[in-house]
Amino acid sequence: MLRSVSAGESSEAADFGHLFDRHAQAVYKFCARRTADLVLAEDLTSSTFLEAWRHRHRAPLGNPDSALPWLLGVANNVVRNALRGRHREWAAAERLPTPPVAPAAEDQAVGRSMTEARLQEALDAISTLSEGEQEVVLLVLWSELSYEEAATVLAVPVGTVRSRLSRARSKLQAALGNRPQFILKESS
Amino acid sequence: MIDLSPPPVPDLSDEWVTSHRQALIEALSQQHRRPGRWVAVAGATGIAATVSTILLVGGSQPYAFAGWSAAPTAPATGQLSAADTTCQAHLAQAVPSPPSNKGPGPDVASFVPELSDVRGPYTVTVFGNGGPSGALCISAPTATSLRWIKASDASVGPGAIAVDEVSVLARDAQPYTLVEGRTGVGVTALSLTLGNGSEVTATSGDGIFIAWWPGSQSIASAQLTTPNGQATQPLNLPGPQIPAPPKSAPSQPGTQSSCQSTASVACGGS
Repeated sequence: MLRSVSAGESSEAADFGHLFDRHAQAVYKFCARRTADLVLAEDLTSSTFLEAWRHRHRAPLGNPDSALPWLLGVANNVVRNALRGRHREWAAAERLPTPPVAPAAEDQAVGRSMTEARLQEALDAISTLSEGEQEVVLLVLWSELSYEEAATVLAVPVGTVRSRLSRARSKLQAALGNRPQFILKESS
Repeated sequence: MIDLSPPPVPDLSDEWVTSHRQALIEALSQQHRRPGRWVAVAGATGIAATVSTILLVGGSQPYAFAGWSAAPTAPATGQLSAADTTCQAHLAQAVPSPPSNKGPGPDVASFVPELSDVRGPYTVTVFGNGGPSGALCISAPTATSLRWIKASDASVGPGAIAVDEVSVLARDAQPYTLVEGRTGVGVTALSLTLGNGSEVTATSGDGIFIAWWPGSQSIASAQLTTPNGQATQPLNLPGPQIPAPPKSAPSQPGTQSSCQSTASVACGGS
């Protein structure tokens, strides 16, 4: 979904608007799966695009498809910093005017709570993995990046991505093999 | 093998996207460009060193090996990922039975992909854990098979290679030859000259190499690339005698003939 450029938007800002339209959902889901907190994930999504804007000279804006791995790399660092208690990005997000969004209805709030519970369960399941292994699970299995894209995001060789994923599978096999709610799945 | 399928995350509402997009655009339009401090994104590197090549084996492609090439090819998007997933599923279900009958089998759970050879739609991956035992997983569009391998204890001299195993396997009742071995210090690339004069470029990396080709041509020699230049290492490895492959048999362990070496160039006898 691309939008036309509104009057007053700079060309670069408009490009970022297109990027937001195209990838906000994927960035949000990545943040949600890393935090198991949907409200926080919304904030981190905004922070990710603000951080990405600061480093837009590195952004592959010419090819919107290739921008997602780069954005997830930004998001990965934003989330990592947030979870480590460094609130620099949060503070940046707070500088944005908060758009008026209607509060969630009660049934939506219940749905959110259930989703967050399932996300937390999944996060707990991979909590025994090293941070590097968790990142590969999140990027390759949960965000459907290719090995090559995940390697670019994490700035490691493709072989490292493969090794980490392999070790993660082995550990998860041992820890979760008898839990039917976890199923085999990977993008191809 | 297990992978986590994450619980679904509901989409952001259209209202959220629209309003936050507008807020973002307005904020960005007012900002001045500032120097970046983002340093996390860097280039990736491949796992396998592959090189130029040469001649195709044979004049026409047997149907069972359509898409095969004498030189390794770049993997299609998702090809390595799909092959790893399938292979690790096979590994998880396999009962280790390494070539050596002495001692316990390898710790399959610790195996990780060490090297992949990609030729068109075919992926051959060496799995191991740094120990002497490992597994070769052969992934084709319609079948995957696994075979155990064991590296020789013999050392590999600098600037040389050691062939650990040559196997003739069958796919759709047509034979193909698979070779796996180790590279000595300084060998950065290699190609194999087969008995009929054709050449096959191997995939090499981390001290091991893999190559395969349709048919059962023997290996005559290896052309090695080292910092000192090109060198030829005679191998004279006859292709194993092939039993008539079973009709329509997928490539499975047990439908092959193989040899294993205990010295650098002794596999198959020379």
